[in-house]
Amino acid sequence: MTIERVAVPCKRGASFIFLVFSVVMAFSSFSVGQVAPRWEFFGGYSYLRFDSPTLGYPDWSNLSGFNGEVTFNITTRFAVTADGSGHYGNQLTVYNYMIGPQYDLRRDKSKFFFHGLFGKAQNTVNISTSIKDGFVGVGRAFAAGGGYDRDLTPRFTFRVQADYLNTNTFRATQNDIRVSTGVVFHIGQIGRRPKL
Amino acid sequence: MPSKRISLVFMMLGLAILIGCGSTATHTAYVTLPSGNAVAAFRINNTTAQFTSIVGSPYPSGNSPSSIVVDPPNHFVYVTNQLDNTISRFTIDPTIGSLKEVLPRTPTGLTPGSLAMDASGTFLFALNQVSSSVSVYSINSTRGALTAVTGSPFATAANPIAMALAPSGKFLYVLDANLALVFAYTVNAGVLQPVPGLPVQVGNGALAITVDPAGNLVYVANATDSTISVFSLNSTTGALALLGTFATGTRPTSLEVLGQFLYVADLGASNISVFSVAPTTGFLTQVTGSPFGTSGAPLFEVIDPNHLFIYTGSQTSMTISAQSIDVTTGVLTTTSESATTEFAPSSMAVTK
Repeated sequence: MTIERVAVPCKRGASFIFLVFSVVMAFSSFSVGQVAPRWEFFGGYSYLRFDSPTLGYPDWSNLSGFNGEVTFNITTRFAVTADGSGHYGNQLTVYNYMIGPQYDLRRDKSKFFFHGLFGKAQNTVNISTSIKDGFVGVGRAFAAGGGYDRDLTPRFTFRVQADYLNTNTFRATQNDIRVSTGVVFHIGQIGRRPKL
Repeated sequence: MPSKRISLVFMMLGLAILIGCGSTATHTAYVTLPSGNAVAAFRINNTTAQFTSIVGSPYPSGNSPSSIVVDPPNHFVYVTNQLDNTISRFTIDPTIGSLKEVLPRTPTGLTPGSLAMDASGTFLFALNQVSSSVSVYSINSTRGALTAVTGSPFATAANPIAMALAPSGKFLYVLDANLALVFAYTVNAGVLQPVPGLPVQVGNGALAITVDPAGNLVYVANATDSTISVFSLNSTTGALALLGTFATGTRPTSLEVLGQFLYVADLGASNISVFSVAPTTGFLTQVTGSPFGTSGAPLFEVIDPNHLFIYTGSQTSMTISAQSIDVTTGVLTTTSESATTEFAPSSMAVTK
């Protein structure tokens, strides 16, 4: 069955790119920190504004769940991030699994980061029909976003991040916004502090 | 730093735009797919008529679903299954609008081809084309279950093809194409009684009949003659009187009335003829620009509940298409909005 969908009225993707650009401009004066952890493990709460009209719902859905990431810092600026999230609503369950590059702008006790992630989306609609309970749509996922980390202790960091999420399931394209916050745990170290 | 503060303002604005995007009013539409033994479901944007298939669609029904109605509170959908002589009852999920059939199915007479429901959702009428009768059911307001009224099914002339219920719910008109006659019945607590007097004559190959929302006029589409018969309706007795017969496009198959305009789906001409109706005489005059082309030969048509669009279903192109309506002039304008069905559609109902 062919689905014809016009552009999202509120130009969600363009707004998000504008948001990220503003962030980069605001903090482009950050100097690069010369020390970084080798590994970062993030976990926390996540909110997803899900494009459920593409599935036949009358309105967007506000879902809550979790977001976790494992980041391997190749250098103090460049890293690879694996991201997984799950969001839940009354009839909806949304999982995304992605991996991709990350760029960090570090200061001594904080950083801004930006990533582009690619992977898989699995959306489940928990409705009951006469022959089936629950419908699962699986497809590709793409995310672009970033966030801000602030050190709490030498091992733990507070994080807030936002992503534009684009998925393709049930033969339709979803344009979502994901906002996550939580704690990052560090291990290892790369780089060196400048001699005084 | 001023640039940092300005950028922070832009950030908050961006977040507000992202999260605070507004919703759009919609309604749902259900389409019977006889060769697929299923019912398709779409969500339609009230403003743009954009169609979105609802997850899980199409939903299985009985054998060869032919006609469909939605009850006034939008809780239940009823579908006639022509080849197994039953009515399927579906519950509508209040969140997404998906359908789930509630078994067992309700038996009807042979080959139920047409359904009608009164405005209050109290009675359901099913026209049995082969057993030549009308089955009438009372509808349980909570569960939607159907119970045949005393005396049902009520005999009609042989092989009726279509029927229409007056908006008042007091009269039922049954069209017999073989005899080229319309038979009128009074409806009292679901019980049908023939209206005294002779049935009225229509044209050849009559396929569709409808009563205008005001309950003053009855229209019949004569497919073989490519004409429309217009009758006045006596609101006291239910008797019909012929006002005139008017030419339309080739092979008219469906009729819809909105305000002072009559919309006729001309299957053979792949267009919709639009007529303004003189309120007293019932005289039909084609509006400027009529007929209006459709994408695919239109078998049926439905006017959306907000009176902004007319949806036409085509079996040849297997599509449901939307045209916008100018309620002042009756003029139709083609939109780019349509939905493709997996199987040829036969009828459609929309929620309010």
